[in-house]
Amino acid sequence: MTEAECVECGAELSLHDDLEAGEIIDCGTCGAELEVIDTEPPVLDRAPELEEDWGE
Amino acid sequence: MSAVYEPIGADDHPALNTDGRQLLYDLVSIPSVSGEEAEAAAQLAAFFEANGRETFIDDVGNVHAPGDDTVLLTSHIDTVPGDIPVEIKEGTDGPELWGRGSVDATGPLASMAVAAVKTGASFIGVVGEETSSRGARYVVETRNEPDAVINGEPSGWDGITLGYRGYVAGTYVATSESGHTSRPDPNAIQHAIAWWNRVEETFDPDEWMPVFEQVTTKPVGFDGGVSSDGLSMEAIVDVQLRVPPNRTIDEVRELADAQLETGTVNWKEPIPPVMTNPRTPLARAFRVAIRGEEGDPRLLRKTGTSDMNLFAAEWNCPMVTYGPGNSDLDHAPDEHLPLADFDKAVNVLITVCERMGVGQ
Repeated sequence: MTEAECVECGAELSLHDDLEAGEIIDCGTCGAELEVIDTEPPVLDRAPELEEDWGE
Repeated sequence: MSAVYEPIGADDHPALNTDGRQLLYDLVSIPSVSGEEAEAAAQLAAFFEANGRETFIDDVGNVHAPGDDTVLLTSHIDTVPGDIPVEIKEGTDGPELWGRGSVDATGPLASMAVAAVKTGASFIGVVGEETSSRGARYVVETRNEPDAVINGEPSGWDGITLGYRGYVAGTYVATSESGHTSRPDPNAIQHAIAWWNRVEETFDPDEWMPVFEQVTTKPVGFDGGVSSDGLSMEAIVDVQLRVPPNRTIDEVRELADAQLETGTVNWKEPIPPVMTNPRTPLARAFRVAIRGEEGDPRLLRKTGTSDMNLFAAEWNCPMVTYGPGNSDLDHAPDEHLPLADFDKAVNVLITVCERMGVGQ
């Protein structure tokens, strides 16, 4: 189990061992959706928000 | 022994320096308006055969290159009408291919063909997406479900589309007895206008809510007047309703029907809405692959409709829609695709297929 800091609220997050790049996790403190950018060491960033677009 | 791929649109331009760019140029050069896809389909099949892949064209004209069904790459061969001269122009970020279909969706189609050849993933080029989606409908009726689907439409090389609204179209028909226009009784045209006004009130837009989450209404045709025998007045209105994932087609249709006082609506085959999860392994692989090409991944939900709606209605596997190109240029007179974006999309698709386990 490793730890990382929520980029939104600064809370410590406990991360599971089989973390994968691209995975989206939730901050248990502020509820922010965070994306795993890298795993060794763990790097988190805000997950992309859903945008609206026209057409096909 | 593999067949040899014969470029048909070769103009010896130095920007056509990869097999993928050449295929893209060739496919854009061949007019492929819905219903007239055969020549482009043959060229696409020739590309696969030249690369050692078996292909066949099914009863409706779809091009199949069966492979590793861990991922099915599929995009549409047809385009909307529009004669845009096919040429390579120098843009702000390098060479751009101009021509009908370069964005919607020959760019996604060609990028998927290249990725399928490089990785061994399954591939289908479908026909008729711009009209009845007959190609995709045939695929879901006749083919087994793959492990994952990547549907081709322009999302931008750094974006993936996770959702589309659904769609239902109908034709309202009313008749009334003909009579002198000084009479106060409403005629068929007034009934039609009144019905449509009530439908629009039922689905009154909320400016504070995203369009994707709302039902939107659009009349697309109106015909009427005194009948040819002079004995009645007629009104015919073609309408379209777009349906968000939080509503059902049946519910929306029933609400529109409930506004009828006179006349009837003949509803056509609907397309259900779709919204997929950004946390699937497939969506995750895309985010990693886009970052690997130094992009900032974008997640999109679109207010229109694509063949992904039909795939999602029949199959439960993870799916997203992806492809190079700015969808603002869909169906536009200045449709064009930066070739650098095409190359990045090819790389992203190859990485995604590999991360999903194609070929393993």
